Amino acid sequence: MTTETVSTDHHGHDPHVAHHFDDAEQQFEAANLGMWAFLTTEVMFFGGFFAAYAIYRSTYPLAFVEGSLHLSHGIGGILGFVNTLFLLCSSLTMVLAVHAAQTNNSKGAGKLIVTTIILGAIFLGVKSFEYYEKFKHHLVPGIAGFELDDSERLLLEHGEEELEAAKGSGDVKSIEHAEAIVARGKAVQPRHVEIFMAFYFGMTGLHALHMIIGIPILGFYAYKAYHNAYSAEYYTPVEMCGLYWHFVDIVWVFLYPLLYLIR
Amino acid sequence: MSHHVVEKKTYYAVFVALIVLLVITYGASLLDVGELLNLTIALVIAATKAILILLFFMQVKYATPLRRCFAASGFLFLIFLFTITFADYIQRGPWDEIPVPSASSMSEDAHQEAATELEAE
Repeated sequence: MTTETVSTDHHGHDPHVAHHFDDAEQQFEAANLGMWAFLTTEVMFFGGFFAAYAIYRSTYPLAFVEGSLHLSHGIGGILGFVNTLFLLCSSLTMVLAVHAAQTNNSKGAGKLIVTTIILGAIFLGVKSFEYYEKFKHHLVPGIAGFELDDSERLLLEHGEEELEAAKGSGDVKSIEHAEAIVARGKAVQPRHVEIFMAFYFGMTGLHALHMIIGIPILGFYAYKAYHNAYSAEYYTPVEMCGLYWHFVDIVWVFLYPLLYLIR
Repeated sequence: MSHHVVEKKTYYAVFVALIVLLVITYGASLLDVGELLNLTIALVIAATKAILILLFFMQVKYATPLRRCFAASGFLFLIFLFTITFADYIQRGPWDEIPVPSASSMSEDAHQEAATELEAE
């Protein structure tokens, strides 16, 4: 009588499939479900921030307009736009990396993941420049010492410019409109703008943290992809990296208009 | 393992749509149509972009029903979070006008708490 032993080698089946799975299909599905469950917790993580944002914005609408003007003021408006562009491009290269892995082009997938990393790093670089600008203008809440000088009230400034132009043209309606903006600008309270800036740093900071964590993970799988680890039979890690990266992209898609584009 | 491999041109088309929507979002923010309408336009465009990314880049369109349920679960819980939180705040009224207790007008409870804290020290 022969004793039955549990096989720990991979004779007779796909080496990528762990022993507790029936087949590659089931393993792929399990990995996907796990990743989506994780992303659900991530949606809730950011969701709390968005709920708080909604409550504070509805309470201090003027301060949020003023704060947002400081983000899109001067070069800032271009930086926010360009950064969104970089992030959308990185999502494209990520999905093309998954496509390359699916079509047996592991090295190509590696190159595309590296491109994704570079675009992500550019995003973070631009972001850190934005942070530097905010520190320079004393717009950081907390112990850094938040200050909003009367000369830096952008909504008021914008209203006064419009009022001057309206007075020049002599149109009663546009004068009234401009006067309303001036009144709104005067009503802005610096400590409420500070709350907006806290949301700006909190939300973009949490988003940036996700990218900082994501980049080394992508780097690891780019390395493996360069060594031909992935093929049409097995590309699950590349797909999972993609899901994470696209999630981070979706968060930014909402952050960009909510922080930079309030008028 | 045979999965639905999406053609590259689908991805390029989605990418172009995302860029166009980004430009529209920026353009729409310059229009002066009132804050509420501006916000609504911005959120509708952002939601459209998110759905495009979810369906094509994150493959939800080609996923099994179970995986779609998992993908939807996050947004379902988000609806619970928003509904309950906002319902509470709408009922509260102007919650930011609650007077801050100053040192001179501390209530008796607060005095007692301060006293017990001192004792504990």
